[in-house]
Amino acid sequence: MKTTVLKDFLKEGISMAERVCAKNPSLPVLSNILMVAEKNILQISATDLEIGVHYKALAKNDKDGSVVVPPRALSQFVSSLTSNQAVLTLKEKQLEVQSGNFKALLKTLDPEDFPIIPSPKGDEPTVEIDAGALVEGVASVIGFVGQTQARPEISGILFSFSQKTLKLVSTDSFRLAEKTVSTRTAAPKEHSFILPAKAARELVNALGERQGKVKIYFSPTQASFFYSQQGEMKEPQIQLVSRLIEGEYPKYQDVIPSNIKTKAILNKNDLIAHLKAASVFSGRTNDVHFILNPQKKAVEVRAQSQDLGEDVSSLEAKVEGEKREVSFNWRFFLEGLAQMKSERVDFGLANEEGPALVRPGASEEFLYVLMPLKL
Amino acid sequence: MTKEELWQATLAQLQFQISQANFATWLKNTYILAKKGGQVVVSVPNNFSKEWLENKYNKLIFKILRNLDNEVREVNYTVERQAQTQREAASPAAATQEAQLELAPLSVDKTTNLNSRYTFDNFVVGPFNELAHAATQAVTKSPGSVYNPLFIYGGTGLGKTHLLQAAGNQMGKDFADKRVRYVSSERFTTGVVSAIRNHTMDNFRASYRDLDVLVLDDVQFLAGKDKTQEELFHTFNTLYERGKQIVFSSDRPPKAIAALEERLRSRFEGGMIADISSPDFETRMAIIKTKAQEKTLPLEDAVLDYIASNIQRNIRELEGAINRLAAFYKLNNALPTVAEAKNLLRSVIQSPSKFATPRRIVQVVAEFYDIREKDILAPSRKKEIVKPRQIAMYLLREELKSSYPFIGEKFGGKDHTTAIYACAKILKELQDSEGLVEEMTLIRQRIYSG
Repeated sequence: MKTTVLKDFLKEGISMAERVCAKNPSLPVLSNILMVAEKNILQISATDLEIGVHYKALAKNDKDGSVVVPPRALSQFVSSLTSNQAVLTLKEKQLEVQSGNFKALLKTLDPEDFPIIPSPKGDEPTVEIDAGALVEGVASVIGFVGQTQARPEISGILFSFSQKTLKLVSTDSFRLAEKTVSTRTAAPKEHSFILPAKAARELVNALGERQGKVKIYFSPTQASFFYSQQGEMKEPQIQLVSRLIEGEYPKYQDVIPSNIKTKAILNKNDLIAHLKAASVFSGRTNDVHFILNPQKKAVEVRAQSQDLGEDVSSLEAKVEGEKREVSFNWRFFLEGLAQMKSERVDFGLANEEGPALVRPGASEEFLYVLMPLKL
Repeated sequence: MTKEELWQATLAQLQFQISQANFATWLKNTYILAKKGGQVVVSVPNNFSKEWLENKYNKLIFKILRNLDNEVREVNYTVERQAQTQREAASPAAATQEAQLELAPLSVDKTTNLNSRYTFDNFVVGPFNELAHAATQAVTKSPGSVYNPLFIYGGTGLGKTHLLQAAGNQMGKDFADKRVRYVSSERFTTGVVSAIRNHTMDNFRASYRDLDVLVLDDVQFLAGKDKTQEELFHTFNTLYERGKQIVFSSDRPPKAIAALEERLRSRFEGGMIADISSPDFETRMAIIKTKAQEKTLPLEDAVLDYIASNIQRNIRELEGAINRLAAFYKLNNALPTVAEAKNLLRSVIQSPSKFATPRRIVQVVAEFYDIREKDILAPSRKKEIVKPRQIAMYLLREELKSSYPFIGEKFGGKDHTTAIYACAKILKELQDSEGLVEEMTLIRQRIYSG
């Protein structure tokens, strides 16, 4: 194998693959990355047998071939290079990396031992979506995925396709977030799957702020995300496949409160400022107390600490319905608000001890359901 | 050769031809799913294993299989979706968050309190629960008009809650406009208590009285709670007058619930009373098979047979036994043999019998009939003592397989023929008198639960 590739592509590909590599695998080859030079493409791949990624970059290949190398040493070496391109040559089971007057020889493993990353056959149903929209959607719900092993089905993000909309849902049983994004093409039929949190994080990392489109392939046991940028390459530049979480996602629609009895419309930044101020005085459970008062047209925010003192402040707001008192974990509340881009926040409460519904203004795109603390 | 043996033999040969790390990575949790004609379908845990076996080891595996069984013409690999893992006890994240309320348990419907897992479809019907099942189905088809109230009773772990919840779910589905609610008696009591404390009795009453179907589970717990009984009495009357369906369950018939007000008892008895007794062998077998299938646990018939013949009284225990075997299967990736199953289930199967001693039986029988223990053992021939004594003798014979001479000896040095006569008499009476069967069930329960 002999190939010449731009340093930036090489660096990007290796670091993407390195993140996916298994950390302590039973099979040593899994902590390495595979590089394949074929036609005009250099492909860098890695897998931990749950997630697999391929990164493809244009390269000038003098001789096709493949090699398996440990990613850490290679990525550290490549990042110290000063020239903008590198030549990779396989010489008797060692990989020579040459760039300007830098040269290194790396030990390699047999590429025959590297796992075959399963790709979609091509006859699966697919949906196309803007990379930006997908990344934004996944990023806005990823923070609320459950950590517990006891309920594997909520340890991932629910992708639910219907027509030209994709709903992304996550919950840790204390709060729930739902983000709606639109897709470029309509789903052939209603379809949903649960993507493990790790795969979702890697997807966000790999795509970053790239412009382009992602084609999602559905199969019963795995999902594949193929990213391609319009332009020079016909093939998708980044492919990520992941196993899916088996099981059924809870019927989350049932927990979204529908009969709102008290509703407050607030300025988001004011609310964030008040929450932060109150958090100074809140106790071990992060509790901050709210009084929604329609007569005073205000939301009072209170927190009390036996050692420090208390915070009593009031926020101007449009409040409709019954007067209500309720406590929330301020950290959970802030994390939800952080995912809202609007200036206005609609805050609704249904029955006693039931969850609150928080939305960015009148927008239907995002919703956040948060359970209160026991009074 | 069965397909399990065939695969085991294949693995045994494969391990010498590939490295240990490869063997562990690629062949873990694989098994032969089906073998038909010359085609063998191997189930693999994920797509990575599938690709690997197809592309790298296929020739090797095929050769070995072919050597072992020359009918084999083709090997295919498939990724099977595993049945959902058990996850009933979802514990809240951390102790520091005790004050954080959780979103309502997601599979339980908030307004009806029904768990959608319980349906008629996964309820196994046998002679022991036929009547209860039929009555519940009839009620489900036209709530409020046939059997009202419906009272179902039976021992613990025999499927009362399942039946009740299935009825609730079915009615909720068929009659979308009907308000259905399932409440455990304990919850009802808590509701009454907090309504009294917060002076919200009116709200509490209103919340129950505009229901169309009320399902109240485990009413025996209302015993001795007078205020709750009174509330239930009034709620019952209101609903009954309006022709709304009410379903109760309990672990004993209304008559046997102590400290229950007479007016409530007579209301429980006013509709249809159906009992669930212990399942017979065939039904137990059917239940185990269903459960094993739900968990995709392909147990041998001998093992199923062993479980069915040894766990007789409680379906929940059957389920527990299956869970144990499933855990074993998951851990060792091999199906338990009969010997292993015996070992695994020892604690489940043997624990009850260690409580049943001759002393214990006599004690419970005496307590049940409210006589003194020494009277049973003394030679008195008073009528009120003779019957309990005969029952105790019968139980000693049935439960402990004691010999007749031993039984006679035990009861004040009586002849073994007396013991034979007593057992025969009770056996005959059991066939004639429904009341005695019930008494016997209750006594047995007390022996094993005390």
